Amino acid sequence: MDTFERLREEETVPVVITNQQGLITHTNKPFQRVFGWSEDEVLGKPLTLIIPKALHDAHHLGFSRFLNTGRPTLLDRPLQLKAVTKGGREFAAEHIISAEKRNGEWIFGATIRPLVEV
Amino acid sequence: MMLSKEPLLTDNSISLLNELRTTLGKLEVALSAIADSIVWTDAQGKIQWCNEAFARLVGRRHIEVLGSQLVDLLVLEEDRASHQTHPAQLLQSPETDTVGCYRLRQGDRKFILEISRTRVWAESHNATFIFVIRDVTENKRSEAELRKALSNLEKSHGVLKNAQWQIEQAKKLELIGRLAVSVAHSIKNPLASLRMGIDYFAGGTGAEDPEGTFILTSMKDALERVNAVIGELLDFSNSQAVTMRPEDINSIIEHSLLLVQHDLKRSGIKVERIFKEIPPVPLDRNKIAHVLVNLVVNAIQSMPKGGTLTLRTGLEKLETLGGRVGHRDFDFFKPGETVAVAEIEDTGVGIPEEVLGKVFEPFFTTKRALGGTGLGLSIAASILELHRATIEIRNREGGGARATLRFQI
Repeated sequence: MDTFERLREEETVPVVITNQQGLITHTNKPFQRVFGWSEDEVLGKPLTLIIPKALHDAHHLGFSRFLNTGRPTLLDRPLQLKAVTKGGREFAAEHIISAEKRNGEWIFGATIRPLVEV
Repeated sequence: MMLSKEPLLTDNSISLLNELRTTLGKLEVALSAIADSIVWTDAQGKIQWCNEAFARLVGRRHIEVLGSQLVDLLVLEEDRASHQTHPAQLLQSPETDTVGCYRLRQGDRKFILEISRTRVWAESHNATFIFVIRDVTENKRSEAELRKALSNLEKSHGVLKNAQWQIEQAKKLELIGRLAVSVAHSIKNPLASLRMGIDYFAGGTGAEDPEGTFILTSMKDALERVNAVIGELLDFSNSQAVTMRPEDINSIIEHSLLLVQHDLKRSGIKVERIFKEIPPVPLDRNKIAHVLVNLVVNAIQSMPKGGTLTLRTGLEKLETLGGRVGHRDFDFFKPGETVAVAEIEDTGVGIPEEVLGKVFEPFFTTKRALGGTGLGLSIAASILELHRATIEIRNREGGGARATLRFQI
């Protein structure tokens, strides 16, 4: 079972998957519970939906750089970053982000384990 | 497992998005290729983005730096003297665009950072700030080294100029000396004939021709004076070439006093010494002794009925401009320079004010009757000039005169 199959079957930790454009293509139940969004509300929306406003620029720049260079700087290792809920609440979480090329297009997936009670 | 819906983006949107991402990506790569650190904060100083150079500078991973306060992450050494605040503080102050140098310590390493801060208006009137941080440690070090080298160069230039000047003066003196010797020698023989002639006629005249006797006596006196001038010139020229060595001025004064001790005793003059310790001064011992003897003899002659001769030495910091103190090429001393001072003071008759300005003129003398040639002080002044030393002669308030000599140390 590869990383993305595992992500798709994850049932306890929030998971989000996006396509090469950074648009959300998949979330799981824990994600919907923690972030307060329903699956219908988030599918096709940009990933910046769950990123605090202050980090949007950094996200766009970093995401674009990776697509340009293919050189990972933060993949596959735990990162402490903030995330934001539907209600606008920011919380610290441990992110592990993975990327994979499928049929010539990148897909990105992340587990987002809250470090505080959400 | 949920089924993922395909996102609703048209082909046009996707191609536009890809194009913009390409541009953004290039921009990010370019900014991170810069050696200077670039940090972008919001109006509260919270980091929104930084390049890789900054992440390296603070020793953190790029992604973890985001959202932190720049003040917390880049801990600069406080400079109490200048009341300098961290550039990421006081962002609301009217002085938004600043540039300054700051100190950073990382373990044993010390850095000097030049940090410039620029306010940028973005996103519906929210101010953001761009900080550009440049490591100028090396620049500052080379700057300091250059400055030191320059000051050393200036110093050696001064020493060289001084030496060159001394050589020129020595050459001049030597020339004058040679000239004086040849003049003196060619005059000496004719003078001797004149003297013999005068003696011969003096032997032949007597009480019967008082006028003739008077004329002959005057002629003899005149001859004596010419002889004295020649003697002094020869004396000056014969003294060996200038040899500068670090010497103790106090000991030269003692030596000079020894040479005139009989005159001092005969005139009943009390000698007072107020000597301070002075570092060795580069000078020609014999020539300076010549000057000192000359000055002491002058002092003795001004106190025929006795008095006190005071010899004082010490250091003096030159504060005021004027005389030979200044920044011009021909000034001997710079303001603020510390010099060695020697003073010869008497309690004698003093010098008439109208004469004070002429005492260094060659052949000017008030002591013609005493056999004065008018060359003593003029030669003394030349010798001191050769040493880039100065002499000043003034009347003292309580009577008597004071000669002040100043030497470079």
